[in-house]
Amino acid sequence: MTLATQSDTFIAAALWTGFAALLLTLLLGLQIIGMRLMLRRRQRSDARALARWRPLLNAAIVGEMPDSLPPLRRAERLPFLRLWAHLQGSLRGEANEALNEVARRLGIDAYARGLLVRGNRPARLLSALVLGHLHDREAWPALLRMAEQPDNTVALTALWALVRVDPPAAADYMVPLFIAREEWALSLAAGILQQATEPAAAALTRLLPQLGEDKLPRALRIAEALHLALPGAVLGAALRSPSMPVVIAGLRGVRTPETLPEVRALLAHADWQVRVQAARALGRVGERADAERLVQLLGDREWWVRYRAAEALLELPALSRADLDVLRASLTDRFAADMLSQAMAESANK
Amino acid sequence: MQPESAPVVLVVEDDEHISQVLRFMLERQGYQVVHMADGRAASSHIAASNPPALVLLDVMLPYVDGFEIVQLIRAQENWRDVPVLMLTAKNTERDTVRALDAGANDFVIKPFQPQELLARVRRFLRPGA
Repeated sequence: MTLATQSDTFIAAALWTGFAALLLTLLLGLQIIGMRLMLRRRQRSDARALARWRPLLNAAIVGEMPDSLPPLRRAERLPFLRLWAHLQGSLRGEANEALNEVARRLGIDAYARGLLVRGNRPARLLSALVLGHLHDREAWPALLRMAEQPDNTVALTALWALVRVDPPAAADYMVPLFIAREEWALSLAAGILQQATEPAAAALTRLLPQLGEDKLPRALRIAEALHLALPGAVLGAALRSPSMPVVIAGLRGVRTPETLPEVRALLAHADWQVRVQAARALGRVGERADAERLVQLLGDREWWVRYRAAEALLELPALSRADLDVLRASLTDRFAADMLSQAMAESANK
Repeated sequence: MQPESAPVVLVVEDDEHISQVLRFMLERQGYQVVHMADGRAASSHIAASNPPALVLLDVMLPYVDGFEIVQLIRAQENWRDVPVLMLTAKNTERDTVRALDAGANDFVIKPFQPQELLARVRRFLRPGA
């Protein structure tokens, strides 16, 4: 009897569990169907919006600005913004200005500013892009707040927009930030600051003398990534630094002959990594008389120093191919001659 | 609707929005546009169809890239002399050199200026060009 009662309880529990599982499965199925229907409806709505606005944007792009524009309906706003931002990123010149004119006539600037504050994450990212393309000065405070957020994608998108809104002000704000945020790749920093290379150079020149040795290498690498020619006094101070990372970063940034004496002195540095960078820098800015210095380095005990010295000899502007052939023939050190031959062969194959 | 005699431009571009812009621009100039959205479709089209007056070719394409397509065009007897204008990405000087080495006649850097692109297309499609 007890066994039968227990068995009934188990069967009832199993039945109820099965029923609950079936109910949950049905609810889940309904939810999937509902989401699928919503997605299809949104896709149809987006397609209608694109079909209505694409011809108008295309006409504006090719210089046939429509005299009047239809009102932008609420449901059309996001697909329109996505298309508009995509076209802005794919085109340049007068087409960008034409797209901006269409957006301003439709009141997109005000709408995007609202979205920047109240929208969800994807909407805020999209609106930052739009406001950047529009060079919208009114969005500056909200973009600054966005740039301070811990979400890297959000912060970097806001910085991208800020540099388009006001390049000098953005460079002043961003250069110290990019120096401090070491987790951001240099290529990202350079990509964003490329819109403001002159103000960024000015900001770096002001900042470099105030930076400690821990921050200097990154600041110098940012200058290098932007291909900036820093003032000789600023670069010279870095090349005379007792810190090896600072000296190496400084050498990588040598683009003018102003610091030639410092570069030449570093060819004899005790650290081979410094000698490598000094050889490369001399190749970029050296004179004919520097060939002898680089020939000396062809006999260095480190392979990389010899290799970079050989490459630098090929880069020296005053040396012709015939000069190099004569130089190679005159080398008595077999390793040095082999290295120069290798560099010459590689250069011929490029 | 373009007249039957209008020069045909084959556009090979996987970005739907950009291909629509290119179609609009080219049709406005009186050209007929045939669009292929990926490298595989473009390869089949080249193997099976008559040559167009010009090919506008993106470098980055699904399945078969633009460099291979231009080589295919140059290897095809009746397509060999078709001018090929390639769309290459900014900051990829190597791509530009590779495109020209592969046999492209000219290139336009993305992001592109629509009027500049049209001027380059016209240069090849001018009567007697």
